Amino acid sequence: MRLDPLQRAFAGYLLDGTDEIRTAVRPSSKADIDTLLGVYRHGYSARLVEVLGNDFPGVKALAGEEEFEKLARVYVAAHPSHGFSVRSFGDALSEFLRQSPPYSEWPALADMAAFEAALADAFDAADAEPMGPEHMASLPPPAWPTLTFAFHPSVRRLGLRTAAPAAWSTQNAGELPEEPATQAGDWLVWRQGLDVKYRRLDPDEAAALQAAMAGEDFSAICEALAEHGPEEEAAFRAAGLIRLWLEAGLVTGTSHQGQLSG
Amino acid sequence: MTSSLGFGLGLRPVHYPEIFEGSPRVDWFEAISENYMVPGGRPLHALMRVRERWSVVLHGVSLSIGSTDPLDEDYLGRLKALADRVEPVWISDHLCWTGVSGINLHDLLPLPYTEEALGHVVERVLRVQERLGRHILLENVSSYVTFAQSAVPEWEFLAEVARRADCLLLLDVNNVYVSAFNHEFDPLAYLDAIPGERVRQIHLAGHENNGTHIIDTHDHPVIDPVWSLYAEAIRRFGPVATMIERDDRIPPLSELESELDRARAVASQALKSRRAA
Repeated sequence: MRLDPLQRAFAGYLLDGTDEIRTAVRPSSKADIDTLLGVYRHGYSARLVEVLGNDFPGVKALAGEEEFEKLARVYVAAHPSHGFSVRSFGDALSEFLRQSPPYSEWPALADMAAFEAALADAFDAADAEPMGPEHMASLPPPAWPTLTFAFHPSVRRLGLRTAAPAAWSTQNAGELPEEPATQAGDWLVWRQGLDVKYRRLDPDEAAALQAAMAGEDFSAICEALAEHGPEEEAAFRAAGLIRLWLEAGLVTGTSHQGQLSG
Repeated sequence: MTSSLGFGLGLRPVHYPEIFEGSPRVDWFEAISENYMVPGGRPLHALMRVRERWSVVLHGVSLSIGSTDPLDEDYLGRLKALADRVEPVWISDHLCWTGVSGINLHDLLPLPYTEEALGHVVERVLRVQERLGRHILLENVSSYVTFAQSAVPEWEFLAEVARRADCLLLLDVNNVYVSAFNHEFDPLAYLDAIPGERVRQIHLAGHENNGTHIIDTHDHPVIDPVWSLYAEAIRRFGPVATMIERDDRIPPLSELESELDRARAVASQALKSRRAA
């Protein structure tokens, strides 16, 4: 067997259990071929199941050891790794749990996976220097209506159907989490300095952040807020939120018509 | 020949507090390249902090030098960028393949030792060295099967790759021991065939013996027969930079420092008998 078919046969054995590779293996007096090849086959799935367990401790805690092992094996079989690092192996786990029965009937699982993936993304997202709240004072009043914002690469806004982050925090403290309550809402995940943070977003802040992250300007952010509260208070609320975002290190730059800063 | 780095450890995040807050008796660290090929945040911050006080070498697990898939240019670009930032003393990876058809199997899989594989690996090592602008170190892996069509033993294949591609070697003494046990060859014959002037680094590790075969698990201390084989390697190759790898059931750093002290003692004894010989 030449090199290429040999590697394909080996991969076929690891991924699908095809046995063509057996003919290429030299018999050993130590152990039979299936035992020896089995070291690789067992290692392949065990390694990836372990990666998922390490990267998704919250999903593992919710599902329980046994159920997690089962779902991880199904995921491993359905999602071969295409990245150079195992770091990206679980990227599709949330989508898998959202769509595949029986897990699709358990929304907290997919929510937990999405939340943990966001934490991981924020953890090693690109570095960028955030602006402080003092930046607001430096902006001339005419700049405000067209003001847009650049966000730190770690910032993630995610919509969840359950309070999975609360269960994550219980699990992270070493305790057994309760089943997360059904409680639709938006969450913010970001990194401040080297520390990953998260918090729940009120519906009006979620709408404002969605607009701002989409590159819409201050006026449009006010319009988004006006759908959640008194129109005459929208600009005041928007300015308050922007101060909050600056204080939390979410914003790395602003620009407005006619000028760039930051 | 460059002077030896001394005695190092694999850099593991669980040890960061002990590394940053203490003064571990470690001469250098080996970082797993892929763990730091990320955009930013704590991993790179920690690695650069280590780099301020120690020499660092980069050790990859995804180069897949023996795969019939094309070389991953994106991977090489990121590795080069990491190396430009970290300025490692050297970069190593394994003589193996880790995936095919675009799928990463995340394992160090054995090659058949054929003329075809030799030409393939040599050509790719040359291209990788060109791309990285430096010689790389290739490491021998542990294996559980050998292939019927292999024309030469692993040690001859490894030595020939190194000669033809003009690359350097990372000799994993534990892997020699594991493969010698699994495939019933004499580990000293392996050492005798290795071109000593190319050996820049030695790995030591523990493993799991299942009776019929040994699995390279890196979750135990180094065993006595591997220490003996290490002494034989130092006797042959001189004061080569040596480190201990631990990837599972990772003990406190102090425990690995003690194990490293044993490496220092074994190497020093072996060097005495090398000079006496």
